[in-house]
Amino acid sequence: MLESFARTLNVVVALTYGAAATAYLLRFLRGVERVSRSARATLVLAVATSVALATVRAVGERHVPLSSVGEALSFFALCTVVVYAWLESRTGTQAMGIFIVGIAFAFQLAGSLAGSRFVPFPPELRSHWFGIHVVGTLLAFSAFAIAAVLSTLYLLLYRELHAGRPGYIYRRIPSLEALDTMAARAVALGFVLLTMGIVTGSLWAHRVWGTYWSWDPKQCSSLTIWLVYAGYVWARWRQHWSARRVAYFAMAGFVVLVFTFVVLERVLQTAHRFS
Amino acid sequence: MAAAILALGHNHDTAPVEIRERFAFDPARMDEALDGLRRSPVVLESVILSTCNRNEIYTVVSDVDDGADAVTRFFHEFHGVDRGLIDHSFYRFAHHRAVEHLFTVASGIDSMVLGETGITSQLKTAFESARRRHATGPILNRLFHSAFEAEKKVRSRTHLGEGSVSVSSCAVDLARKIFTRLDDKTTVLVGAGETSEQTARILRDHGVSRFVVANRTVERAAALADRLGGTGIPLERLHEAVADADIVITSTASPVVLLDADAVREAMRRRRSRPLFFIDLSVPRDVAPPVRRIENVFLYDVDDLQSIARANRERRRDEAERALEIIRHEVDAFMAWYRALDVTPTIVALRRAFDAVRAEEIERHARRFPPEARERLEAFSRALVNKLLHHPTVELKRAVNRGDDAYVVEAVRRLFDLQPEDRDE
Repeated sequence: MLESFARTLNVVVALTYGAAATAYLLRFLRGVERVSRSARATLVLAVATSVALATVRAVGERHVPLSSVGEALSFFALCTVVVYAWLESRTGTQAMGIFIVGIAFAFQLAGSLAGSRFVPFPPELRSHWFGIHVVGTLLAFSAFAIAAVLSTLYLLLYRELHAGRPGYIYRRIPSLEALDTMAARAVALGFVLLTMGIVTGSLWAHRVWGTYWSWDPKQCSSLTIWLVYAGYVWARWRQHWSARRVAYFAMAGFVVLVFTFVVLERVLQTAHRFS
Repeated sequence: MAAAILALGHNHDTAPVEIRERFAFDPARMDEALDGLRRSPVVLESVILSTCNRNEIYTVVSDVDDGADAVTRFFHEFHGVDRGLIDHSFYRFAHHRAVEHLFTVASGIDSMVLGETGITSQLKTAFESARRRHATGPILNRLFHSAFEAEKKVRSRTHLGEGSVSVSSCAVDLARKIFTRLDDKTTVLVGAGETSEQTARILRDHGVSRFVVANRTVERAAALADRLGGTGIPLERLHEAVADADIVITSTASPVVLLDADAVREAMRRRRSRPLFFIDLSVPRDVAPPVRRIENVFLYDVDDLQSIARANRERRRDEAERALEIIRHEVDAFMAWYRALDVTPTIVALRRAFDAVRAEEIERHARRFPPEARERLEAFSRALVNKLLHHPTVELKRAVNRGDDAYVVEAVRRLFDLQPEDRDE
């Protein structure tokens, strides 16, 4: 009963994300910076249906809905739009919406296509740590994704301004300083969350596997990513790198993230994965 | 004779400032002016709009020609100006052309700077003053309401008011796309020129509070610094000032460059590559062109800024075409309402409404009477309706001759709930 409801909802959520992405695309093409209520309404609808889906799954599985790849992708999409909604209310502009909501839509679509079967949760993994570990890590990835988007926009706007030819991008997105500040905040948030994710993960590993750290591929990639963003934090706040250089850093960091988590996961066998 | 909407006045296009200033209405005397207009028997409603670019009076008059004459006379008498010599500076629009004129004014299409929206709030103030003085009535209330609605549509559906069209405001727009907050930024002015001072003033309006003025003669630097609320320094200290600045505006008559690439590179090193924005307004240029290539430096000279301003002007002109389409549509909508205030269709609608009630009541009561009485019942009820409607019909026709027909119609339509019908032109 709940499972069939989740199946329907799974499709509905993909549609609401699609609607939100379309609304933000139109917004961008028309080039009006002011916040439009209708675009925001689609965003709220996407968040609401997404939360509903996560809740139905949580109730059906009696656990944080993160036990399959599809669920994790869905959850990642939700994290991204929530972080974006916060960003939108802070900056009062929807100009960047299409890029971030677009990414969320892509992830939700992949999540919906991955299916909505309830997965019995392995009893040995049941723990509060699990929730904190996975939710923290996924939120961190969302934040890094958003930082990468903002940094890309920074570089695009920089290029127009530096060349003395303000044009398409110039008319549509906020200032360099705003993009830089927001990207840095997103990285800082992601870095804190990832640190929490790794620490809780290792505490939990100790209970389940009997060891804090086993150099398993996913632990290695998490550590790599942590080091990359630690580098960002160091370069920006200790070395005072220019906004332009840290923008490249944030983009490169996200490429590394996608590579280690998506590519390595397929290549290497590991016990540490979504079932 | 019939009531008409009339717009009469002049603007920056038709009258030079020497004429406009003689006809400007002092806000302190606005009530007096509105009262004066109302004393004319042909003027039924009025709004006076007086800005530095235009003086216009919008009225509902009982007759177009008499009304135009009365308003023109009022314009001159109120300001104590003899008629004749400068009459040709006035334009006069009636009926739907007056409506269209008001809508284009409200949307900034008639402004000196195309799409400039300051006029909208001035128009709102003008309308409010008139409404408070009870100088407006149902027609102008509805007209101005529609004008503000049209303006809102134009603003949200076109880019008419976007993109600056002057060099100084384009420079400030750029500054605001590089920096979010301007209140913690420092601006250095090198030399004193009209455009650079204007740019500095706009920057100050956007929150910049730290100004440093560098000039060959310290006294002149200090004078400009005083006006802006900053400090003056001799030109020799320019390099260190640039290292601490975020925005540098140059406009000197110097024949040689004041800042070359090496100097700027050194400044960038000292400021740890924080973005630096150069606005070079001088010809010959004060900042060496290769500075443009330095990372995190944004250099714009007069030509760059002028070409941005030109592109924005062209964009506004294109947008004005789209805005006019929206306005034409809004004018049609207003005119549909306004035309429904005609007497003839109202009489028809009134008769139809009464007749509908009559027929309904006959149906309800017919079975209480013998069938042969039906005919007499019909005749009786028709006579009754005719009698009841006789005086209203005559009065409506008389109102046309008096010129206040629109108001009588409006009242009748409201009392008997007569909806305007969609009618083609």
